[in-house]
Amino acid sequence: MNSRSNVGAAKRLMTEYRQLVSGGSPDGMFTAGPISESDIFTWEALISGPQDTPFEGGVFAAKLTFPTDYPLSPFKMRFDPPLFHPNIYPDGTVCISILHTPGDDPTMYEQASERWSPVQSVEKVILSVISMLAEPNLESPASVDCSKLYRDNRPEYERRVRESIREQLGL
Amino acid sequence: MNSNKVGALLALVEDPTDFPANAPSLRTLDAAVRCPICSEYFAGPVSLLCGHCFCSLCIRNAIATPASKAQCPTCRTHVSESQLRPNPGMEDVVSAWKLARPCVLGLASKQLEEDVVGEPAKKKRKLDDDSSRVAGPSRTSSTESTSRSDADVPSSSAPAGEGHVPKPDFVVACPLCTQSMKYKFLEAHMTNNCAPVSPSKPSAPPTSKSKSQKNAWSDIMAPKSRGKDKDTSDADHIPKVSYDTLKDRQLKDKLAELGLPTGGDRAAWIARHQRWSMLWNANLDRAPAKRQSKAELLKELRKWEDERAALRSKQKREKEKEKPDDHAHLKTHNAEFKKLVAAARPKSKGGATNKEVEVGIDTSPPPSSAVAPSLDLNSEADVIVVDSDDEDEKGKADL
Repeated sequence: MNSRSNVGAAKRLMTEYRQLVSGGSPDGMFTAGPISESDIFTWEALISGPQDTPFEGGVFAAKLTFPTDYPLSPFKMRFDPPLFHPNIYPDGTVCISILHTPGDDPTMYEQASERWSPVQSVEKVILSVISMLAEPNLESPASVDCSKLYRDNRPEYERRVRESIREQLGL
Repeated sequence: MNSNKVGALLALVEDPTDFPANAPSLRTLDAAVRCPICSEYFAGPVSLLCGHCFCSLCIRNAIATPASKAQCPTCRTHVSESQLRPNPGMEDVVSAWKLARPCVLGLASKQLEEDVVGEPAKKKRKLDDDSSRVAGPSRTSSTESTSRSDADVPSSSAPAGEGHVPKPDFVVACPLCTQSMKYKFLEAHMTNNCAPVSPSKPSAPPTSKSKSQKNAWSDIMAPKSRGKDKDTSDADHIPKVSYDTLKDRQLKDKLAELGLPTGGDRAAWIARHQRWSMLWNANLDRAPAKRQSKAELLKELRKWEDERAALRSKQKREKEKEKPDDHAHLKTHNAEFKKLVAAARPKSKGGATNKEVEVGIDTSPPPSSAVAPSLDLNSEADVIVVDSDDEDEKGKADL
């Protein structure tokens, strides 16, 4: 039903998907694609934790939900299971400026230059998220507890992240 | 059915990665003539003041989205609709590339096969009669050869090299304006700044000398009025309208003037007029030969309205589904709530644990306030179930 309602958005998503499949991601840091053949508007991304960070060694699944007027509006990204990170809400939703339109400003500090624009793409956003994993942005704490821990007790933060990764991997 | 559709779309989509990975320059070329918004070939490309290029309809859509703050999607400088300028040069490039693409694609994949076989350099030498070319690494030579042979194909009737002079009656394309004509007229045509050639004209230029002079003068003096005569008045851009200043009737008249349906309410009229202006103006940014007819545009408008209506009703249904849940839940379970509250109360009085006291306090407000009743219900249910279990066990023990 969704795929019928906006052929333009579907086509653009197809193109992005094809490019990701044939081009691959830089350094193989992530993969992304539609979950099912019937719905091109819901994707799943698998992101491997960046090296030299507490997230190293982990593989994180995120669900991408695209609006019917994509790419005019950004998609939504939600880690499932949620990730323990200052910029990720406890329900797993990612809070990152590149996924906010210049119009809405939930945090009141983000530069317009780092917001969503129709020329952005899944690939660029996921790369931004990977760099966000490595360097949290404490100005917009989506998870306040985690931000406090990150600021006040870095070793404990890193320990908790590693622990959650081990849990996820079932070790 | 849906999956078929997605599969079919996936097969239909052409994108830069159609070209082999060992020809990155071809991928770049293919990506360069695509709109960064819709990732398809530019349709009616327009440039902004900052120089960035988009499909006319794409950028008009993007600017009209309130959240975009009217910025260039690439560099974020401020833009307005009046600043859009058609980019016919890019349009020509796109149509030329569309023609050449299958040919280049074929050559590139053929090249790939040869590379796999393992004797690329030898075969290439044989193919190329031009011995001066260095048979270097396969990548550079492949792009060179493809671009060369590509250039040969469409212009086979035109003079191929410097030493080759076509016969006077040979039909050739003017290298400046691509108009085709017999070779003997080409020189005169080019010295006349690519004046249109008709077979009779060059044969009798002196007789109509005064007339052509007049034409030349009118060209210089009033080139614009001449252009306007050609385009009928309805081929003008629709100006921006400030809808707030218009009364309902004026708005309706405007729609009727444009030949649009006048059904629906005021909001629908405004949306329809906005969308139509967008489609209409974007269509005008294309080359005249590539424009859609008004009927086609009307069809597109109707499709858009249908989609919009479908989307709206879907959202409405979802909202309705979510909303009344709380109240309905409260109403249907009101009796149970009361029963539970009554059951919990005596226990909390009779020296119960803290937990039960809290629950007793919690249970009183839900019937009046609609805040998260399900959560409260669960906690109560848990406690009660535990209690009843206890009682059951007691009863069993007694028995």
